[in-house]
Amino acid sequence: MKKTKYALIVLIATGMFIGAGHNTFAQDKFITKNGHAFFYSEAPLENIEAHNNEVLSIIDLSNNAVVVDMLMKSFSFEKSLMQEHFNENYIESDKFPKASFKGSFTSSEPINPEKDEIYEVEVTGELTIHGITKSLTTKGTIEVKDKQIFVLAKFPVAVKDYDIKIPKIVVDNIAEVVEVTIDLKYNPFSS
Amino acid sequence: MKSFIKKYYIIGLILMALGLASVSYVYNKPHLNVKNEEPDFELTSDELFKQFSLDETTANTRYLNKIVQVSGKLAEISGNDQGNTVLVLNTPSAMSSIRCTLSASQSTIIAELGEGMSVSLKGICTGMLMDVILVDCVLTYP
Repeated sequence: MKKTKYALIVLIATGMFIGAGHNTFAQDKFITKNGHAFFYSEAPLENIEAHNNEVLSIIDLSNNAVVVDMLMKSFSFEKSLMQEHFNENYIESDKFPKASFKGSFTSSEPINPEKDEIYEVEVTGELTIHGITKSLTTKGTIEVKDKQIFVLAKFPVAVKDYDIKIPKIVVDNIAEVVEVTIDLKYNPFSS
Repeated sequence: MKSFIKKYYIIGLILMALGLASVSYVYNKPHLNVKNEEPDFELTSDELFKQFSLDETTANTRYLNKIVQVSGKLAEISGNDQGNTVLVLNTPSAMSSIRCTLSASQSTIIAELGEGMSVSLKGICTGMLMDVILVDCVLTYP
């Protein structure tokens, strides 16, 4: 987890450095501290969804880098019992309090933060959940609107890939593959 | 003999009903209502930030999933996409703050708040990213 924070600081610091060197006026770096992430599990016995509204993310348009960081205990479930099981038994949030993503994206044309437009992007990077890091590639959209940036991406996460053990007795309650949606609204980053 | 069976039949039914009721109670157990709970910890926003920035692991062990009451100066009032108000409290660091998502029941209170005001609120600590995060918060002062 320290690594992600380090990556985040490096990302900000290099940005400042490059920003100081080149005298560019365009805003390259965007941040959100209240991004929304949610996941949906569809299983024969019940459908479960949980929402996190304290997602931290920084996107840098100068090098197409993106980092996303979230706290597992910030996920809110409809039923408190599910939230308890998620934290204590499955995701073990005392041991692994965060999930993070670090990567970059490609788009068919460079993203212009000055002009309202929607871009289709492909995001590639490393996703860490439950202390396990796996590579992830997914499609998404980046929308520029009124000097804000909106990122939307949806991808499946197979719970066993991240060494999350679901007891046999509840396999009918929890999907093997959970659908994760990332819905972030960034504002210009000012340091 | 017949009444003997009937008696046990009724007791069995009662036990089954009790069992079902308790399963349903556990399954539908309500979320912790922060408003009615005494805080586990009371401290200033500066102190809470300091503890997290000096030693995050120890601070996690101490504060995660606990009700923390924190007081400080309001740096920013914003919101999330779900319509909840977010109150941001100052810390000695320019980069970090205490970021508190208010519970939905608190929506009427914020009209009286302004940046720079001293406030106090309690909520459940979920950890630290750039900011220390509290969720389900209720205002305790003013």
